[in-house]
Amino acid sequence: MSESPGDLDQQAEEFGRETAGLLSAALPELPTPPIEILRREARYIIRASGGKGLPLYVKGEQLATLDLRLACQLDSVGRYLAVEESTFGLLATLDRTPVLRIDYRRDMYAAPAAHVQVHAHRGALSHLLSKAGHRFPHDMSALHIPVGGARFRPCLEDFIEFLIVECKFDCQPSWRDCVQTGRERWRRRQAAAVTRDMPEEAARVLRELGYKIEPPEPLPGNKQATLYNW
Amino acid sequence: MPHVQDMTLEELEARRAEILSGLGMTYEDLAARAETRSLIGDEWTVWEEIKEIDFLRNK
Repeated sequence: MSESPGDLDQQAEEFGRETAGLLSAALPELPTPPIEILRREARYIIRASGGKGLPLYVKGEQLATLDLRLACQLDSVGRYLAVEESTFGLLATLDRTPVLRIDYRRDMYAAPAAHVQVHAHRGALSHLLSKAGHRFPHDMSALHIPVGGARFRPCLEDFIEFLIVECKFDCQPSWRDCVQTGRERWRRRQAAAVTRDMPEEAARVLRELGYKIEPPEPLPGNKQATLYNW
Repeated sequence: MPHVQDMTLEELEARRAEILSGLGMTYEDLAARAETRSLIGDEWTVWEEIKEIDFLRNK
């Protein structure tokens, strides 16, 4: 059964509230609200306010931008808002181009659906790719490094923690609590999705833990694509 | 907190034309630069916004 546009709007706004709450609680000096939600018909874009990315500071100096974009629409069963595409990117203020990105494209098959792209150069890699006949041997970002597929891909909380802990960007004092709360919420949702992907496997594990579980009639099948796609 | 902003097809197409004009490029030029991994500076942000608009246009 399809959701009405109003229901989808509620889902988009709830998702937007979670995302805005996370960003504001983790990173300083963001606009209020830090994100905006654009809609046409049943398609939604959730992105940094103004579409230009969010400022990232080191000791109060803006050195980079967090690019955040999610494209959402109804899922395949017509009930829930699903992420079709997402981008979490780090752009340097110096040249306004990406340093690295974590992208997800649900319908991407030629490259991994969830992947990291690093915008950098290394002579040895260019040499290797050139010898191998790669189309863009000079550009490391032409490589899509797989990161877990649709279900096990990194979440925004992972990227924010990376920015704070690894890159040393300025943070709010309570960033860790909101990142951990958000990550738990994400992983519970993904665990539910994985259970729907492979219910027999989920039932087997639960029986091992002592749960009494009877299969329904007819048995739901596995969603093979999410199991074998990269 | 953020609320949903409705966009019309006309608004999306006007915004699309505006940002391409601001960059001084056609869509085909920009797409070719993206395809050949030649985007520089603000072209990155514009290219991402074009893709967002086209997603909302369902194109």
